[in-house]
Amino acid sequence: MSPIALSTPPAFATVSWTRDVQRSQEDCEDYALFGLSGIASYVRVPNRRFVAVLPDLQPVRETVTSFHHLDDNWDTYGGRPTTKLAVQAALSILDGVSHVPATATEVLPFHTAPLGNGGLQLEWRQGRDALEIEIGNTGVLNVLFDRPGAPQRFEERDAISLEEALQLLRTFLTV
Amino acid sequence: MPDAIDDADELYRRLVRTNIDREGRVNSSAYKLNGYPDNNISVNLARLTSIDETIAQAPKPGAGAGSLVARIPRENELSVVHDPLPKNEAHSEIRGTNTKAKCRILAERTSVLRMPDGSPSSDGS
Repeated sequence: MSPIALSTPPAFATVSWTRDVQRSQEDCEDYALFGLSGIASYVRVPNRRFVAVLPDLQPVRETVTSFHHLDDNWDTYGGRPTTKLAVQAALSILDGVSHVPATATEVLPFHTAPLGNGGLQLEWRQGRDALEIEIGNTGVLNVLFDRPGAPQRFEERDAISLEEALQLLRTFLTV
Repeated sequence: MPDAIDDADELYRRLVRTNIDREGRVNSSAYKLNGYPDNNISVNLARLTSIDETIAQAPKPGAGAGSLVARIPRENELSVVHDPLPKNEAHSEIRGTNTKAKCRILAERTSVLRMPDGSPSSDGS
């Protein structure tokens, strides 16, 4: 018998889904009625909203945007504030990564840092491996993989497009 | 007169809040100047200065400091030379063709001696 979706969940349905997300489970589940040998039972099943659940990247966006308001010489070595172009590129990457089907913990950058020429860098981690996206002051994107356990620890890709950077990031986060 | 720098000599590098990651470790951004791997990284030769003096050379309060042994850049095809300045006898430089990968190695081998203000572990947490 096919499951029947219900618009109102029953009060006694207590099965819960576990996933590292920061939104209410209630938004992400539908209820279905199964009948078996004359006994009906309700189960929760993930719906499209569950699949599309997003991590809260807003604090990261705010941090990245704040780099544009740094003082001159913020790094004590003559650093300049991050340019609008670099911030915009970073925000585009964050928008792109927000749709990656990984856990919220993985999708959130491990670290963000401004760079002295008006650029910035974002870093993601997967275990011991790291992916660093360096954004120049004109918005140019460079990527560094750091895989400490691999025969070739470092791999660099310079001057790549936003789409390429996002593809590398998606692969890194989901493999 | 420039001093010879031994492999075991300690080098101090000033750090700011964003050079420190959430685990309290130094990030590769600490060794990038003008957004790119710095080919002339300014450091202080530890035996000719102090942590306080190195931090006091920052134009504003709140900086921290990290320590790197001279052997580490040398193992990564970078040279380390004493380059005294009129107002900073301890000034030295890590020179050579730096890369993003080398910046990560230098960062991971840098010990934080004094956390910058506002960094994840500056309050001892």
